[in-house]
Order: sequence, then C-alpha cells, then structure tokens
Amino acid sequence: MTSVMIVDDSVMMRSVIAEIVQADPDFNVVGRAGNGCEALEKLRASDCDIVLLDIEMPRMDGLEALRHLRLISKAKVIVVSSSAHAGSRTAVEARREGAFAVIPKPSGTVSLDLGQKKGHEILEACRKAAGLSGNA
Amino acid sequence: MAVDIYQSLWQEFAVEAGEHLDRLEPLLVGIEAGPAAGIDATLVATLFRGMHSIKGMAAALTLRGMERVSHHAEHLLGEVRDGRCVLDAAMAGLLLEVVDELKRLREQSVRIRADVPASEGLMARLTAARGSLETGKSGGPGAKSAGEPLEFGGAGFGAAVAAAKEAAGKGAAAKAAADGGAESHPVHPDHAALGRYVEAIRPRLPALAKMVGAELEAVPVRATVRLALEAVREGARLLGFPEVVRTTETLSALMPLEGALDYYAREQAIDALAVLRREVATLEAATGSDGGGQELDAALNAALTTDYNARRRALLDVLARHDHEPKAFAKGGTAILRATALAGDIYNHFAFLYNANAGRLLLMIEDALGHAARGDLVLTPELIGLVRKTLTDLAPASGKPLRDIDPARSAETLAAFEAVLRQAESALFPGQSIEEDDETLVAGRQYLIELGATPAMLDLLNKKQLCETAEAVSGGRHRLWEITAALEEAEDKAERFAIWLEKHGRALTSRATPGVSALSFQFLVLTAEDDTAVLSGLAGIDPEGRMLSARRCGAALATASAPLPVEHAIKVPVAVPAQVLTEAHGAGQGAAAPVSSNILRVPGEVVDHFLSVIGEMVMVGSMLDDAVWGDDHRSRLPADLRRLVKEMRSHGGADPAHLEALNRLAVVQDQRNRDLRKAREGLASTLGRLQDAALELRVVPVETVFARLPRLARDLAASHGKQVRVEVDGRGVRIDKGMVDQLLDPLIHMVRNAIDHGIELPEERAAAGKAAVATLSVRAGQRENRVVIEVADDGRGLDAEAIRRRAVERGLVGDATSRLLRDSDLYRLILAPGFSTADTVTETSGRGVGMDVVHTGVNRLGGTIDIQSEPGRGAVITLRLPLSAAIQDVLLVDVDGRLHAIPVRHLLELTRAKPDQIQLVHGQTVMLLHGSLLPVFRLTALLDGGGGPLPGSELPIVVLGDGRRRLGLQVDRVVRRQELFVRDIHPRVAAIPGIGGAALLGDGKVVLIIDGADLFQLAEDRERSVPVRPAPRVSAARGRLGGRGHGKSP
Repeated sequence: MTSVMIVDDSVMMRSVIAEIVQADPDFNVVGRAGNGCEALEKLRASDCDIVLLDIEMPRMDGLEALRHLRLISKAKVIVVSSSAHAGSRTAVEARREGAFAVIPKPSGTVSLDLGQKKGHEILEACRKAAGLSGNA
Repeated sequence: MAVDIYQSLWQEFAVEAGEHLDRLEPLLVGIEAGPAAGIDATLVATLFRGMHSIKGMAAALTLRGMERVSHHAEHLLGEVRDGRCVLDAAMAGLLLEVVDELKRLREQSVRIRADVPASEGLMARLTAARGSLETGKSGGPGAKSAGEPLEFGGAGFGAAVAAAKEAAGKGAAAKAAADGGAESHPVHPDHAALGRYVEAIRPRLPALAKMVGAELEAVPVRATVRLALEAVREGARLLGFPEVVRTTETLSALMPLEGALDYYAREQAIDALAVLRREVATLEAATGSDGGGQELDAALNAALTTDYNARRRALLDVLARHDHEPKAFAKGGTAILRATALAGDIYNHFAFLYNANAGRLLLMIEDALGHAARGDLVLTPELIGLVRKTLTDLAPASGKPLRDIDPARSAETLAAFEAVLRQAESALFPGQSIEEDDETLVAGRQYLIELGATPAMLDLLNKKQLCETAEAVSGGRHRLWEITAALEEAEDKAERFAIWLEKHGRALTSRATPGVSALSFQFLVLTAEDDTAVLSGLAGIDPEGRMLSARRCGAALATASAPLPVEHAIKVPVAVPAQVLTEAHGAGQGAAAPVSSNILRVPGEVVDHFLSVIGEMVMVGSMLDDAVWGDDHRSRLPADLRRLVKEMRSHGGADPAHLEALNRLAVVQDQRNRDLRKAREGLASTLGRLQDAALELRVVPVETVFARLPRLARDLAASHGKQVRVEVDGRGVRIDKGMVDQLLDPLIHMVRNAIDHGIELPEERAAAGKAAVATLSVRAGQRENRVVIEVADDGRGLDAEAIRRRAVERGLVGDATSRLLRDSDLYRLILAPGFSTADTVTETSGRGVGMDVVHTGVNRLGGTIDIQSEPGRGAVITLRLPLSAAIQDVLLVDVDGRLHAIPVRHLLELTRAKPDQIQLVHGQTVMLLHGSLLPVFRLTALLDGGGGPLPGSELPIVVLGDGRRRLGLQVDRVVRRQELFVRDIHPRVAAIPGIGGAALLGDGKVVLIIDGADLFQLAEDRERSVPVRPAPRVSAARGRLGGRGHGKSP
C-alpha cells in the first residue's frame, strides 16, 4: 500500500483530492496538511511515499516546502496547483525543485471539478511515482 | 482601492479575532471556577481550535506578538488534548491571561496596524509551563549518534563533524530558544550550526564530481570521494536530515573497491548526485552561504558534457519526426511520450543544470511536451519549432562543457514560450467563434468588469470561458456571482457549499482571497438562478453568514464603509423589510432570505444601543399612555364642562357669552382628547413596528440551530442500529441570535430522546407495517409573536402506562393520583428531573437528564412545551418560544436605592403583608398567603448572602414562582413594568448567583436583571442553612403535578 499525504490549504480541495486518490485501492491517504510547515511537521513524524502538494498556501508555500522536504522525506512530490499551468513559471520552478509531476487545477484554487477533469491524470502520476504499473 | 482592501482586512481581523477571544473567555472562566467537571474533549478541542485560528490570523498579518502568544497557548492545549497534561484551574488561569494579553495585542495592533510585542512576563510563564511539561522528555534530537566513532579525519570533514556535534549538543537548548522565540526555522532550529555545516562541506563537495569521471580509478581520488561522502553524511546525520544521509549512502554503496564506475553504477551515481545537488541547494539557501554547490555544478558539467549532449541530440532526433509524422505527437502518441521522457530525463539527470538558465529552458520544454502528451495543449508547428530552436541553442561547443546562456536571452526565450503556449492552449478549442477575435474578448472583459467583476478573477479565465461568460451574462440567461468562502470555518458547511455549487451553478475559477489568510477563497460562479434562490441557498448553508458572502456582479453597488474600529459586528440586511409576521404554515415558503445582496457590517454595540433606545421609547410611550388614558380628570373634562353649562343655564342668571365660552372649551377639549388618542394609537403602532424591525437586526434563521441536528440524528441512529431520515424545515423563521445557544441543547435532547425511545429498530418497524426508515422531522413556524418548533417522529409513541409506573416508582406522583391523570398529563411527567423510562442506560440518554434539560432550557427562554403522542404512530413535542430572548418584559423594583429588574414571567403577584401575616419560623421569615406559607426574603439580602428579619412589614412583596416553588421578595418600591433589552455581560458578573444579565436604561443607568431560577436556588440554599424547620408547602397551590411547566408565558 502506497501512503499519500495531501497538502492543500483548502479543506474542500483536500477532500476532493483524497477522494480521487482513494478511488485506487493501491493508495492510502495517511495525512493531510494545510500548509508547508504543517506538511513538514507531519513528514518529520512519519514519512510517506507520495505528497500531493499545492503551491499557493499560507505560512509556507509549496515551492518552499518542496525545497525543505527533500531533506527529510523520501516522498515523491506531485504538485497540484492552479498556478501550475502548462509552461507557467510555477510549473517550471516546481520541476526544478524536484517535483515528480506537475498538474494544474482546472478551475482555480478550489477546483471542485478536479476529479472529473484531472482525476485520471493525478492517479496516473501517483501510480508512476509509486512505481506501480498500468492504469488504476 | 488597495487601501480599502487593506482596511477591511484589518477590520475583518479585528472582528474575527475578537469573536474567537469572546468565545474562549467564558469557557476558560468556567473551567477556572469549577475545574475537572465538564471538561470534555469537545471543550478542549474548541479552545484549541480557537487559539489555532487566532494564531493563523495573526501569522497572516505578520503580527508576531499575537502569533507567539497564541502559538504557546495552542501548544499547551494540544498537550491537554493529547492527554499529556490536565487542564486545571491554574492552567485555565494562565490561559485567561493569554486571552487578556491577546485582547490587548489585538486592540493595539489593529489601532497601529502593526505588530505589538507580547508581554515578556507572560511569555516567560508560558515557556515555563511548556518546560515543566517537557521535563522527562529530555534528550536532544540526534543525541544518540553524537558519540559514534569516526574513521576519517581531514580538515573539512573534521569541521563538519564538529559543527554538527555542537549542533546536536546544543539541540535541546537551541530548540527551546527557537520555540520560545520566533517560529523554529523550517530547515533546522540551530541556524548557526547549520551554517557551520554548510561551510564545512564546501571544500569537500566538488570532489564528488570525480565519482563519475575516469579519474576514479586512482586510489587517492577514491579516498577523497569517500571522505567527502562521509563528511556530508555524518553532518547530515547529526543535524537530522535523513534524506541527505540516504543519498550519500546510495553514493557510497556505488563506490567500487577498485577502478571506475561501470555504466549502470555511473548512471545511478549521476542521478544520485542530482538529488544531492538539490539537497545542498536547500541548505545553501537556508544559510545563505556557499556549500560548494556551484563548484560541483561546474565539475559535473565538465564530467558529463558528453552524456548531456547525447541525450540532447536524441531529443532533437525525436522532435524531427514531427515533420513527417505529426500524428505521433498527438495526445498519447509514441513520439511525444518519448520526447517528454527524454526531456525530463535530461533535466533530472544533470545536476549542473539546477541553477542554470539552460536548465530552466529545458524544463520549459519538458513541461510543454508533457502537457501536449496529456492533451492539455496542441503541439503547434510554432511550438515545436521553438522547442527545436531552443535545444539547438543549448548545445555545448564541441569538446567544451555547456556554457550557460545569459539570463536576458533565456528570459526572452521563456517569454516566447509563454506566448506560444497561450496560442497552443486556445487551439484546444477549435470551432469556437473566438479565434483571435480579440475585440470581442476585450469588450466581453470590459463588460464584465463594468458589472463589477474583479478583473484579477477574470484574468484567471481562458479566452473561451471569458467569451462564454460575457455572452451568457449579457444574454440575461445567467448571472455572475463572486462568492467568498471561508472554507475552514466548518467542514460540513464547506461540503454543503461544494454540493450547492455543483447543483446550482458553475465555478468558473477560484483563487485565494488576496490579502486574507489564505483560508478564504473567492469563487467566480455562473448561475442561471435568480438572486433570491442563490442567497437563500447560501443562507441555508451558512445561516449566520460567517462563512459565505456573496456579491452578484451587476447588482447595484451600495457601498458601506464602516470607519469605526469594528468591535463586534453582526451582519444585517441593509434594507430591513417590514417583516409581516405571517402564519408560516402550509405554504412552506415563509419569509425568504433578504433579496438584497447588500450586507452591512455594523458594530454590534450600535445595534444594542439602538435596541435599548427603542426600549426606552416604548417606555416613554407607555408613560404617554398613562397621561392620555390614565388622567380621568382630563378625559372627563368635556363632559363635566357640559354638565356645568347645563346647570348654569337651569339656574339662570349666567352670562350667555360665558356659557358659550365654556361650551367652546368643551368642544376644544373633546377634539384635543381625540387627537391625543389618535396620536397615541399611531405612536403605539409605529413603536411596535419599529421594535419588530429592530429585532430583525438581531435575528438569524432558525436553521442555524437546526443545521446540527441531521448529522447528530444520523450518528445516533447508526449507533443504535436504527434508520432514520431527518427532515428539517425552518420555513424562514428567524430567532434572536441570543437564543441560538440556549435552544440547541433542548433540541439535541429532544432528537436524542426521539431516537433512543421513540424510533424502533428496522425489524420492529417492519413488523408493525411501517417503513424501515423512520422519519424525524424538526420544523419551525411562527404564530403571532411566538416561534413554534415541532419535533415529530413516527416511532412507537409514548407509553403512558410505562410513564405512570415509572413516575410512581420515582415518587413523582402518588399511585392513586396517577390513575386519575389523563394521558397528556402523564406525558408531561417525562419532563421531571430524574425521570427515565429507558430500561437500559445508554451512552446518550436514559440517564434521566435529557428531557429535564429540555424543560429547563425552554423555561429559561420563557417558552412552553406541549407533548402529544399516538401509540404506535409517533410523538410530537412542540415548543412555543418568544421571538426574542433579548427583549425581556421586566418589573423594575427599587431596593436600597438600587434598581433591579425582575423578569415578568416569574411574577405571580404583587402583595403587601399585614404585620400579622408575617412570622418568623425557625429563623426564616414566612408569610401566610392563600393558605400556605411563603418564604419571604429581602431581595438585596438574598443576593448579597445576608438574611435575617425584614426591615419593615408594610413594604411591597413580589411573589415569584417557577411552577414548582414560590418565594416572596420584599422591595422598597415597585417602579414600573417595562421592556428591557438584555445585554450579554461579562462572565465574571454572570457568575454571580442571582444575576442573569444587565440592561441599560435610557439615561445610561445600569440595571441588573435578576435570574429567577438562580434566585430559587439561592433561597433553597438559605433555607437549608437555616436550622430545622418545616418545609414550606410551596407547590400546593400550583396545578396537579406540582404545576410543572404550566402558566409560564411571560
């Protein structure tokens, strides 16, 4: 079972993303955090395999978290952010800091249609990051 | 504009933080007063959440003082929550100090709009409290590895280890310092030690590039590489960076015993070095000092030029296929997948690209290809051309390492990429009439902005969305809303909001509300529904309007500025509709949410003051009443005058002119009296309407209270293995804000009672021919000036016989008497304290407290309870409550020169005692009234805890009753009856027994409002402390069942 942590400042997005991930029995959401600091704290306490990371968050944003968590966590990071559109500097920056994949949210920060529009892509990225083959 | 946003941000902060603090304070006071009892997980969670929210808000505004204080308090509460320490009176006291300090900081910070440092004294006490919790948890991080023997020496290495050791040694102290001071550094608490570590690895790090070169064959080179790896690893281990340790371990494991790395090991080493390079970059960035990263880049660049160039060419080769087989580049095509993989590989592999401008461009390429592979954008010829050109630019000169391109050129290329990508994105929507029709686009955007849409939100839309939106809105089919949602407020609300959005509109885009702590989000929503539907939908989700606020783009913009420092704001509809009190029955529509979307935030005090002035006006009105109706002489005057004229005529001799004058006087007086009456009637009705309208300022939909019930019912039913469908219907009924809390408890108990006792198990229901899923409905309605709340279930109903037996068992009623009671009277017995018909005591009910709580709660609100039941068919419990608990009908009395207000609903009668009616029985003054003994106290004596005989026996006595008990209060003077607006008072005052609240008279005098229930308790305590005496028969005169709950209407 691959453990996943979801980091997003919106409770709604956290549950939307959790729903997407948990549709695949290979994944288990083990933690949620509302900002980078919280995510780092949780990762220090118990590591996980994949972190789904938002970029724009209070206290510590996703890019900063990405830079820091690589010192303490083996987790592969998949960025899910409204500011990470194709070719955006955020997307590029996230990749530079070692994000495994970067997936844009379709309707802004709180994209309730994430599941419909990007659910498949997110799962695919998670499976790839976890070294799992085939589709969910 | 920016300034306005800033101002409202501070105001929001002031209000929100104030609300949190106001909520925390009474809870803490309660704990301090009576520790242990009643401290449950919920209470602790509430406190914790409150502190957490304050901390978050303070952090958002960079108010470090507040953040520090609340951070510590939150930490303490976290320890309590996790069971590591007890929230005793001492800690509650400390937390109250925290609240006081936070109040001070909030007030000052809001005034100067800047951080105010926290009191060092309090910080020291908080740190000490934390410290005392943490003793026993000693042992710094990484202490265990500090003593490990080290095999290798060397200057850089030794320094690294020494630095790290020092850090580990200082770990505990550093941690404490960091915790006590600013937020601990995200990378490492001991910044100094981290800096020394980074500096120590600097001379060692570049040597790692040798790992992937041919020179690794040489023994001294291998030793140098090993040493470098050890230095980096040991430091990382001591400082606590497990991933750095892991990366260096991977590299160490790849080190050959002799010779250079073989192909596969080398590939892995290249990867691991890229990882290590990023890790070092974090450390470098955190300390601001050079850890040898750049030097490593250069060395790696030299060592890996061939590898880089080979991959770059491979990628170019793949892209060349686009010329003749573009299909392979469509979504999921083989060529595009291969190209994406190669592009990613190049960047991820080559550590030296990390900080290079070339690296950024390579990433741009990878990102663009990746999106094309997923079908997010179309790989246009322009895009592919740009990619190929860029890759060609990024070729190293033959035999030389890659020379990074200068930032200006890379920025140029990046901009070109962005332009091409935008095109590629809009090419995704072929067939739309918007292709490059920029004029339409600009006009549409302008149109939406004129409607009031926030430009920044529109910028988040793509062209297609923008055009569609402008078209939909201008065509009148749809409306555009900007909805701001504080989604963290309550998860269930957020959930319902999400569902609502899905059903009723389309969220075009969303963003974090700028400037606000990012827990608030703005949505741009397109909906076909009308304003009323949207607003009532949102009000249904968030009745108090704390989480959601909405603005329709296109609604008239009535701006409301609130220049006052907002103390305690409540939201009110701008135009208060003269609410017609309708019989909300059957129609099912009731009063809908206010149509206007204009919400004003008004300081609560303004509203309170407004209400108390209105209260005063009502009083003046009644004085006028007295003047108009009460003055018999004036109203009789015309008639008297006419009689006089008649008599003077009959006696003769009077001057006719005088008689005529008298007659005219009578007519004028008549007219004057009529005018007065008319004016008085007009005033009375206007005042009434004004009062109703003013009360609207304090009302919230009753759904606010109902909202929690369905969830509760579901959970409860599930735990009993029962199935229940909950129907909640507030019918637009609104109740006073002050009633919300008081009403919740009774409702919860009623729902519990219904599920515990009323609703049967599914199989029982099936056997009885009922649907397996029971229905529990909670409905509100309004009859005249009463709120009626009905909790109905279709369960087994109340068992009158079981209730009778239990009541007899409990001694609540005599056996013989009980048999004479009608069923409806028997039902009322369940409201008695200690009554329970459950055969088993369950977790939630059956302790015999439930319905008693309902009774007390409803009583306190001045309401009544009615119970109906049909065996086998269900039960209905009906509460009838006054519309407002904030306006109280009171009797003002004067005792010892102080004014007190006694709620009229406790008032039974006013009397005066003749000396022979008063006796002293066993130290207690009693009075014989209607054949039974009434204990009599002097009001002030009862409140002050004194006692003894009464000063004078001819003074008025106010007789109070709560249905069970009666008591007499001697006062000096009964002033008048009047309606008062009750204010919330400080919990410390509220804790004084006998005082239920305070009100302000028009002249600014404060009146304490007596809490009737408290008073009875005080009297009982007093009687108990008096030596043996016969129990006064206080209930004989009241009703069959001790008068429980009868005749309670105010």
